[in-house]
Amino acid sequence: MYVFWIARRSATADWAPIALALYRKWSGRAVGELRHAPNGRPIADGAYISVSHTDGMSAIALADVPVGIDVERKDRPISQALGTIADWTRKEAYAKMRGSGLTGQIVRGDVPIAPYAELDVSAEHVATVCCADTVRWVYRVPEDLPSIGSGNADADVGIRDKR
Amino acid sequence: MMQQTFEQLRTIICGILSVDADQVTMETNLIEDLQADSLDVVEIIMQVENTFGVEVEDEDADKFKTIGDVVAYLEK
Repeated sequence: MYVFWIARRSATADWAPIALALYRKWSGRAVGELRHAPNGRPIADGAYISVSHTDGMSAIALADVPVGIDVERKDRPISQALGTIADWTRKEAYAKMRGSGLTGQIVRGDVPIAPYAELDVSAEHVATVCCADTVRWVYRVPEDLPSIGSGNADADVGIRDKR
Repeated sequence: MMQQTFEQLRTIICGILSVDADQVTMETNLIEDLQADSLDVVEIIMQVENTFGVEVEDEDADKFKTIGDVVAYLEK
């Protein structure tokens, strides 16, 4: 299965619809229009969506199975008991994929984290995406999002194989 | 004593979130008012556990919205 993700340094208000449009076009799947859950989370029929925001970076992941993404600054302070920031992004991405929130078990590392992929977001940031299936392909769209209808979406999608 | 509990808790929160003491009242909402994210909340709960010698269960932590909620929990 595949995960489609985008990371941007400055997320404008309309980047989620653009990301969804790119995903719809790239995956060829019948995905509904973007809506918002009561807590503000973006949702769409036919796709699973996860978003993450941190200082200087926003990221969105889309897939046809439950998916979670978390991005953090590499230099963010974290207590030694919690492990590294990379460890933290794995736990968060897993919790978001599960939809369970961060339980004590996940935080303590008592639960094996689902198959995940580390994402090469930027020099300053680390991110993890977690899926309810083995991640075979991770598609990353570069910084300059093509506008919807420009016809350049395919050419701008970079493909990388991550296991 | 509730005031002492509040002040200890305030110190923890100010340290982790880098906010001033006057930004933290009993009604302050960690997430909405102080922009705490989930890592911040976990760090706060860990320090609360160490400082007050308690073990916060998930179902209790889920109910923490304001500082007052945490103080009420610790006073029980």
